[in-house]
Amino acid sequence: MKEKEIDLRLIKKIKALASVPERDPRVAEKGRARYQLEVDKAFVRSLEAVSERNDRRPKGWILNEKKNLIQRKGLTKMAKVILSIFLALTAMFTATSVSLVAAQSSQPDEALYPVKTWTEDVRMDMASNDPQTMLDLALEFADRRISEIAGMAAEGKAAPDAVLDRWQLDITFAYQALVQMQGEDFGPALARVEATLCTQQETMNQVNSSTSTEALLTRSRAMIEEHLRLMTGSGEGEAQVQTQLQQQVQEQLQTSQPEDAGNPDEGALNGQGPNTEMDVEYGKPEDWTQGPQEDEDHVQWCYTFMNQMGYDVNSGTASPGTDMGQGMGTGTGSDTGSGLGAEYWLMYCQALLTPQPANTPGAGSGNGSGGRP
Amino acid sequence: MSLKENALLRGARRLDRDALAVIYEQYSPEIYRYAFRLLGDGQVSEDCMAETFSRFLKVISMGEGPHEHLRAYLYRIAHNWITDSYRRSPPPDLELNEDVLSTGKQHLEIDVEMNLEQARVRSAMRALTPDQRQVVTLRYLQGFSHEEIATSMEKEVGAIKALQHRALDALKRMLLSEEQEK
Repeated sequence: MKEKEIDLRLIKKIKALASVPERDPRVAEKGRARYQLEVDKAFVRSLEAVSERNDRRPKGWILNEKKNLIQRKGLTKMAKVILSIFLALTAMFTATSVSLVAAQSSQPDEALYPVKTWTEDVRMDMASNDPQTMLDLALEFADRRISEIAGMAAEGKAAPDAVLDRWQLDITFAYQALVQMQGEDFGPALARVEATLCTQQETMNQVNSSTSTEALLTRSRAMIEEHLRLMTGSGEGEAQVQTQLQQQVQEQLQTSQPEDAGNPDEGALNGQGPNTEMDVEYGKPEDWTQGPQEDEDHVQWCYTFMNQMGYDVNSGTASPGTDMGQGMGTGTGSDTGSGLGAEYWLMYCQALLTPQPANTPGAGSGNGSGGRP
Repeated sequence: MSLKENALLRGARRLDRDALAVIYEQYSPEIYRYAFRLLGDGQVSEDCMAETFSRFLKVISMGEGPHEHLRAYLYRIAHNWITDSYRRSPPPDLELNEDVLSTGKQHLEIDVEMNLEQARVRSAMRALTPDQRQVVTLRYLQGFSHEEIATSMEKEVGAIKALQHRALDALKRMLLSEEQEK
């Protein structure tokens, strides 16, 4: 066989590799979402790097300006008073801003952590009418929770259970946002949630567990796995997935109703007896998830609420014999399927009524009725 | 390289999200095809492509990486990933790919034969040196010119032609030995 003919046959054989099967559109979408997530993270990192430098510049300028103005002889008394008030307000504002900024990098075992969770609650609350922003925030906050758990585990410390509970809450918010999305937005958003969960799964798998962290890490991995199964396991169309997510969110909300969480008769097990006032005021299921009224005494509300839920305020533990009490008492309310709203308000009331260290995330999550949900 | 490519790269270096999105849309399909042709596995090829863009992003966000020849740079990352992948995993057996059997196409016999032929060629390509493999793939499967390959591999055009010559000789011995004996 001639050399040229051999070359042609060889190249034809090589070109057998030119045929490539079509990519699975869902996998391709997932890959795109994952890349987008990495781009967003890189972008945020670049902004953070810039904002730190900027923080220093204006502070120096203000101090220099203050020195120059105070030393100037031409200022009247009134001007000095106004200037003092202005500087005091500026200092307060700067101190608050610095605290808020510093809190963003705090860990669950640090004093500023409640500030961090409080700011997250406020931001989430403000985004509740915009599904896209709500999804962005929910995924960002869920990422933070996983980083916190992994970061503490890397130091051999187990994060408080409430951190994992908040992660569960953030994922539920992401589902709520997905349910509200329409048409073309849903597919990419779903892929984004899935990609986020995959990244979080990888993060958790890379953490080496120790005796103190093993239980929390195992539970975290199982919960991520469970959500991933919901995303990928159905193998159905987007409409069906959206319906499933809607059911999932509704189930979580429904299980937070007082009927499921413990009826007034169950309260009798705790020696409290049925609370007729609560039956009147909070008889409707949705009342539980709305929390206390604006003009209502939160402490009183919490006493009534926790008694109704079968939670012993005095001992700081869950009362036996109540479904909800068992869920919260072990700190595993989220993964045992207990309700989203009731669980949140239980955390809030627990923080409000039970003396506990200021650095627990549960305390931070309930700073005011304007927080989540 | 084109002005558009360099403009995209400048945008990417500023972490412009639109530029980064366009880069992904424009180059990810061909990087996937490049990976699949050498690896023969959809999932592994997806991993290769994802890692290629992840490494690219990491490098430019640190202010490093290329100032031109973006496409060539992406191919170089993918090539390195594939070379590492070959080192990590043993060569696959020459067996039928499940993808073909599950597609339910009418011409199943043709598909099976094509699949076997691809596996043979892939196996032979794997036996080449990494440089030879890259030259053959870029030249005959991705349609690069000698100059473009030289840019991508940061070598002289003459060196690329020599690599191509040696690679084809080796592939002839592996794939056409029966024909040559006739």
